[in-house]
Amino acid sequence: MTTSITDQLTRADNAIGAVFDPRVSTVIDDGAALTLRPAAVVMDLDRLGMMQPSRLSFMRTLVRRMVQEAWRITEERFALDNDGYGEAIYCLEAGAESYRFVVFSSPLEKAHRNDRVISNQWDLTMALVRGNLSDAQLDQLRLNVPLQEAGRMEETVLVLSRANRSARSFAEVVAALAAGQQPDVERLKIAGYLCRTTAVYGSGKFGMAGWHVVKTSCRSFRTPFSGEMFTCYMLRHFSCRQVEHIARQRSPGSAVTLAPEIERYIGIGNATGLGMAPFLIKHPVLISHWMTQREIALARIMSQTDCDAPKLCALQSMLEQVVQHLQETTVAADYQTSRNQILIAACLALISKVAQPVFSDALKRGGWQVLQTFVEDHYGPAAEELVQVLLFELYPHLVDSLEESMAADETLDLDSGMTLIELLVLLETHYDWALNIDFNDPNHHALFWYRSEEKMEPRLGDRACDAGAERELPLLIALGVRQCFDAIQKSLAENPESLVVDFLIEHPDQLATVRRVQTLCGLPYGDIRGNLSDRNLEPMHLLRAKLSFFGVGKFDPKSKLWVRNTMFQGAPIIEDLSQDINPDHWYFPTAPVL
Amino acid sequence: MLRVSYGELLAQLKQSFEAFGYSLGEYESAATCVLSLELWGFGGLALLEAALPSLELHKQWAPAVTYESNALMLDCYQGSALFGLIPSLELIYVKARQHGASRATLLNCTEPEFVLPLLMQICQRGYYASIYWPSTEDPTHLRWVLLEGDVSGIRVDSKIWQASAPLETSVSIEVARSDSEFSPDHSDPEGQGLSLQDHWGNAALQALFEERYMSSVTIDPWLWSRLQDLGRQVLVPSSEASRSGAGAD
Repeated sequence: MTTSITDQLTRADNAIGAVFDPRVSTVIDDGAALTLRPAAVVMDLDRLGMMQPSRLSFMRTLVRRMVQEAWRITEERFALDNDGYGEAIYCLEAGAESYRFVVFSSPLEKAHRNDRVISNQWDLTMALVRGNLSDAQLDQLRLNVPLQEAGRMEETVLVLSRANRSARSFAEVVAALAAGQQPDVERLKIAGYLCRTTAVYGSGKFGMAGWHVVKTSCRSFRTPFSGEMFTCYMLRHFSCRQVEHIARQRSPGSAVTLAPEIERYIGIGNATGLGMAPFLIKHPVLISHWMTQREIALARIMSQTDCDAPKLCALQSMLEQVVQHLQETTVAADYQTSRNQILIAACLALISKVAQPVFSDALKRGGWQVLQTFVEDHYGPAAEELVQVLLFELYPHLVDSLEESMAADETLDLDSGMTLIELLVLLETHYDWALNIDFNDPNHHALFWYRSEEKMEPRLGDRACDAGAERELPLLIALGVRQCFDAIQKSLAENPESLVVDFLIEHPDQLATVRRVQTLCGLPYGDIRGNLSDRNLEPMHLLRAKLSFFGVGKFDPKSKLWVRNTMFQGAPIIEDLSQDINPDHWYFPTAPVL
Repeated sequence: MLRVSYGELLAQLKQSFEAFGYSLGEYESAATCVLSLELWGFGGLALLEAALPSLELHKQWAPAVTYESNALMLDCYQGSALFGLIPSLELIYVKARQHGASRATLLNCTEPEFVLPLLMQICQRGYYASIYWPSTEDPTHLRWVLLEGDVSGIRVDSKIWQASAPLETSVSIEVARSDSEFSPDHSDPEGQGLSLQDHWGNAALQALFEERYMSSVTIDPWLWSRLQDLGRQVLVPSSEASRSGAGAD
């Protein structure tokens, strides 16, 4: 295993609380005031589309926990036939808790292998289950897990997922291992996984345990999406064992197993479509919480002035690693290739810049804020977002404690006794970005979001030509704000002394907007500053924002509406968990040299 | 019976109320009311099942509100308390904030139990509330619920009182800043000649709530299927063109 370039740097220590003061863009953090970036910058939709995975991403958090708490994962059953079909069960022991990961592998015709959520058959289906597994429970899982959305789960099930074999890599890797060779690393650079998951369900869907139950009674998975991420981690492990098994059946005497360096470089693929976008709009309090933790981490680092030689050297090394990672990333979309090239150029330029004594001296004198300003001025927001997450790596003790604050009570409050004029001022102050959109321009009100009959898949329609606008999802926050603002102005013209409650009695349909505005004025990162009905909307920005919180890499858009990416590439493998390793060495993973 | 998770039921209820034409804030509120009532042991799902035919048949109207000082009159036009009551109850709260206490009478309101979760939300701001209404089966029986709350939680007492003669059919609500500010007929049912028949104190209700909250909810498969059918009305039929509006193969 490679040694992390940040190994010598400090490790995370005890959590430090942060209290948000909604009146100003600061937090009181360990007795000191920290200035956070304004929401106009952070929540800009284009910038959200440039977010990068960080130490606070859920995959990183999970792996840290797995290593720090010495999770033990053992194989309880591995009953596959010569072609890799059958079932496997793994046991996770994490402190006093135990869980089972159950996976079913079934034959699938090539014509039925599809990444869309509307598919009905998959190569692999799986579940994460709490506690021990009785024969009766296993029978229930055998019946229901392969059905996915059409099945019903018991409340011991925490996560349900499915995956397909990668057409680009699965068969090639089996063939290589059967021939007694390691897989071609050059090919793995193109598709760094054997299987690709197309949906991961949790939070109480299809009868599974609800999030509030998981959060309070499953210590190992108490932070958002950690159960879902662990399921993907186990899928990665199973996919490696599966190819080895098939190769062994094919060439019993000569097949080899995956070299650990190769296995670490194999991640799990993921295909994500529009389904993620509504989540970001429907959970504003949670999103604000996530963004706030990131911004607190950044603000803590920006207040550091110890830009000494070891840290600058570590930063240069990380930039070099990013360059290699991006050079090894193959994407289909030209615009994404172009973005990666621009980022590579920025990294190379910054490496040279940091090496200049004049610049490094300026950093030593002025701290990281000097670097931040320079990157912002010279390389643009994409490089800025990248450099920020790299700085996170230099200060684990300032960042990691924030991972415990990623869950949130999502209640939206109503202050009905507020004067209506106060509400109007809140709208003008916090939602100027929405009020500046001209919805009379058809191009600004061109698209609508809806749920399809097909598995309730979220889709985008064009008002000018597509059916279904009368059933659109209520995701157009900016439009709602505009309508609320106009109605308030009318009410105030009639009665300037009105209270919010008077307004709501006249306009009960404004209840949701009023509640949202009143709550989110104290949570500046709750609303995404973009018009989701604009003809030129880039839904990919929404996907990228959420996926960065998950921690995915190798962002590979297949269209404006869906994206392939890679999870856990470079992460420790199960055998590493019991070793004394740095669980954070795997950001921007690069190909192994055998 | 079918077991569904709290989150799954909430999502399904929202979708079903959306199908009735409720706006975003209204359907979220109605779904939360049903679920809260179920979790607190007041039979939210059974009440919903009973109310479904009228909810499906009738276009609902927001209650008409008239008031003088801190005394309000709400006419629900034979509609369910599930619809449109938040602004009215917020007005009761604002009046209590201004005057120390406020009272409201709900006329022509079906399923008044659904007011309870809304009152709970008000009480979580540190207020007291009481609500009573006569049973539809036996108008000599009065269901009386007392609520006391703060940001950390809610304390609930549910009592059934019996009178010697039929009672008025309206629903009576009082919200106060403290229990000493309740008017006598809201704090002293015995003073009205009522005798206590049944009492569920906070501890028992709280235990029931926590047990249900931490496990799944049991629902009649027929009702679940009906809610799913209703929810499908907000979905858009699929076509080749619409498939391309979600991604590419």
